[in-house]
Order: sequence, then C-alpha cells, then structure tokens
Amino acid sequence: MKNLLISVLVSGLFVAALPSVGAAAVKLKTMAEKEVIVINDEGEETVTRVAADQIVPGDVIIYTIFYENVGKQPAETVRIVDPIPEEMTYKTGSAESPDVAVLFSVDGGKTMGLMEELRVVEEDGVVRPALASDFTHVMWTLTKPLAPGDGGEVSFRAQLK
Amino acid sequence: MIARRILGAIFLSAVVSSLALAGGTPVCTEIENQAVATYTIGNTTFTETSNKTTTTVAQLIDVSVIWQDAGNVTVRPGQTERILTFMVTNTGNGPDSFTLSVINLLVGDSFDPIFDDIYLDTNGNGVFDVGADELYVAGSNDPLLLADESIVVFSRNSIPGDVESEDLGDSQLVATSNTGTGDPGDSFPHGECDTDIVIGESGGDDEDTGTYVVSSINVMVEKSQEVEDQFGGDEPVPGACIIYTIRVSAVGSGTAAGVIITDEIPEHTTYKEDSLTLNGTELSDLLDGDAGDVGGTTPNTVTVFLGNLDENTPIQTITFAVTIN
Repeated sequence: MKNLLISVLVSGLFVAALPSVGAAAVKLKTMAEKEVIVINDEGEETVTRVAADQIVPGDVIIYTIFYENVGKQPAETVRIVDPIPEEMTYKTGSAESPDVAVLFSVDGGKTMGLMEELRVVEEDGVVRPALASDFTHVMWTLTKPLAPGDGGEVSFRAQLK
Repeated sequence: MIARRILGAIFLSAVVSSLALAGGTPVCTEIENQAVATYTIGNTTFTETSNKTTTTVAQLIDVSVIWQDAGNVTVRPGQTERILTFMVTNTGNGPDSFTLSVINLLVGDSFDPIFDDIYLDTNGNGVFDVGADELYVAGSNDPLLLADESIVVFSRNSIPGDVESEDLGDSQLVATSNTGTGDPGDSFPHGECDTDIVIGESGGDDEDTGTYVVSSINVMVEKSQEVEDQFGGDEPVPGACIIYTIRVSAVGSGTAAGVIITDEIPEHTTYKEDSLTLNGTELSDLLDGDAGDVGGTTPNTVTVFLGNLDENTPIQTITFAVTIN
C-alpha cells in the first residue's frame, strides 16, 4: 500500500513537470557518507567522513545533496525531495539548515508537513504524533531564489535498522 | 522517462525492505538513494534528479546465549547427565555457525559440575529427547543459524558426590562465531558480496550461566494393611480381603520430580477389581488417562504416577484390596 502511494505521488509530481525536462538549470549531486574514528599522529581520536560504500545495522549514513544553478536565470521555489530509505530511520534534527525550510512526509511523500504537526494513524485507528521513525521523505525548500552560479548543500542522517 | 527511472528505484528499495528482519537489515541488502529537485524559472516548472548512491549492507557478527530453565535445576549428589537448557540466537544479519563449549570452573558458586556432553535440540521441540536429539561435536556439527534464527542447546553435567543440600553449582554455555570474533566494531575483509565482516556488540561470542541446586528431598512411603474376613472378623483366611494403604510424602528441600509408586500384588492373593483409589478417588484398573493402573504398566503390579512432590504437597494416599486365595 505504501509503495503504491509513493509511486502515485512521484509519477504525479513528475508527469506535470515532464514537458520542461532537458532545460534544467539546477544540478544535483548526492553523496552517502559515514563517520569513522581515526587516530591521528598525536594519538587523538578524530572523526572523519568516508564514502558509505558499506554499513552494518546501527550505522548512520549522512546523505548530502549539493545543488547549483548552472543556468543563466534565477531558479525560484527550489525544492529538493529525498526519500529516506525504508531500511533506515531518520535522525531527529539532522535535516535542519539555515535559509531552508524543512518538511517531512509520513505517507510516502503524498503529503508534507512540519515534524511536530504530522500524525500517524495506527492500525487500530488511534492517531498519534509522528516519530522520526515514521518519516518516509524529507523536503527542503530554499527560502530565497537561487541566483545563477549560486549553490549550496542540504543533508540528513539516517540509521540502518 | 525520468519518472519511470525514479519509480524503478523506489520500488527496488521497497522490495528489499520487506525482507528486513528484527535483528537488522540482512547482509548484502543494497540501499539506494536519489534526490529530486523541482524549481521554477518564469512560469515553467523544471525537475532534476541527482545521481544515485548505493550502499551495501555488510555482515554483522553477533550472537546471544540465554539460559532457558525456569529456575535452578534440582540435582542430587552423584547424579549424572543433568540437563541445563540454553537458547543460542544468531543476532547478526547473515548466516553464521557457532562453536559451543561449557565452562564449569566458575567463581561464586559452591561446587563445580562435571561436564558430560552437549546435545542440540535437533527436533526443535525445546526438550531433550534421547535418540532424536543430536550429540554436539565441536567442528563437526556446529549449528548453522540464519540471521535471527535460534537453536535450543542442552548441556549435560554430572554432580559431585560430596555436595550438600542447598549447594549451588554454576555451568556456563559459550557460543563463539566461526566467522570471527574481536572487539565490537572490528572489521576484516572477505565477507559476503564483497563487503567486510564487522564484529557486533557481543564481540562475536556470548555466554550465559545456568545453576544446579542440590536437593535433600526424601520421599517417605508408609504401607499398612487391614484384613476383613468373610465372616465379619479380621482373620487372614482364604477368601478374606486385605486392604492395603500406602501413604507417600516428601520431606526436605527441593522437589522430587516424577514420583511413581509401584507395588506388586502379593503371592497367594488376587487383586480385587476396581479397588484402586488415590486420595479417595477411584482409579480405573486400565492403563488410561488417570494416574494409576493395575497390571497395565507392569504385570501383576499396582502403578500410580504421583508427579512432582515437595514438602508442601499433601500426603498422597493410595489404597487397593486383594483377596487371599
């Protein structure tokens, strides 16, 4: 059922946008990293990020999405949507960043809302506030138009179940 | 075209997750991620997708051992092959096999049990069955467990002869991953699907301790008889009836498990049909659902199954009658 909702949403989202694809001015690049502790020459433990090619249950991935306007006109209402992999649980607070509004989805991206406003209907019909583990998608909306040549990054952390 | 590609990616991750287990995402699961941006220039909405990242789930080695008996296992001095029951669970996220061992030289108890052997609960019913359950031989039939799979293991130990009532003896079962052990977080190469093998919180081995308690319980059996002759007197003449009463009680600490009373019908007498009773209730002579029979379990013998007795059990009274030939 959840899968169906995701596909309905995503296809709906992009069918509307399809005619304009190809003239894209905003480029995206996604990275998956994890933190590892390394001991430096002074014998101190330091945290370094490495590519998350492989992880085990309990590990946290940091997903970072770099965006850049490579076109000649400002891009307005820039929204970046990233699905939280179903094997992973969103780490509360990790998606926040300056000059960006963050919304989440608990229904496969069908609807987006503020974390504290989202509700989940349990199988027995009881409605409860959403938990980070309910999140299926995170959406960032830039609060200002993205000028030509400008760019930035957004990121979130999620833990492998 | 783009929409179709995105759909494919999302479906893939959804299908994989349906295999996810409580103990962790299975080894070799591929976790993909792809972001999508929408934006407007003028009145036109545009869409852009990112590259796709792929992360492979590596094998996490973890194991748990939990003692299963409800309480201390009651033993008597000198007993052999007394069973402790443990459950070994592969709490990692991939298949692994485990070496089992028993440690009895532990501090904090009053005696050391003497190791006999380990059996695997081959038929999976949770209790030790002679013949059905397999003797464990290290390196030969180390249990192979899938992620989250468990096996019940029986360790058998003998009890020294010089122990005293209420003495406690601990025995530890250890399960060690054959894939690897180390400190949590250690990793080494050559795992499944070109990933590393990572040691989990258990360090790749785990153990739990079961305890034997020495019981001094004694089952007391007292038998008396009463003769009723056919003339209204109490003379043991041919044709007279002898009513036997057997009183059974337990004295001491612990539980006497599975008490069975047997009594052979005396020579020159004949059992009087339907005379067997337990605590005032008639028991049929046949070997059936009730606690006793005559001649069914053993020819020409009264057998009554009393079950577990301890000091708080009321005195159990068995009666039956015979006729003098």
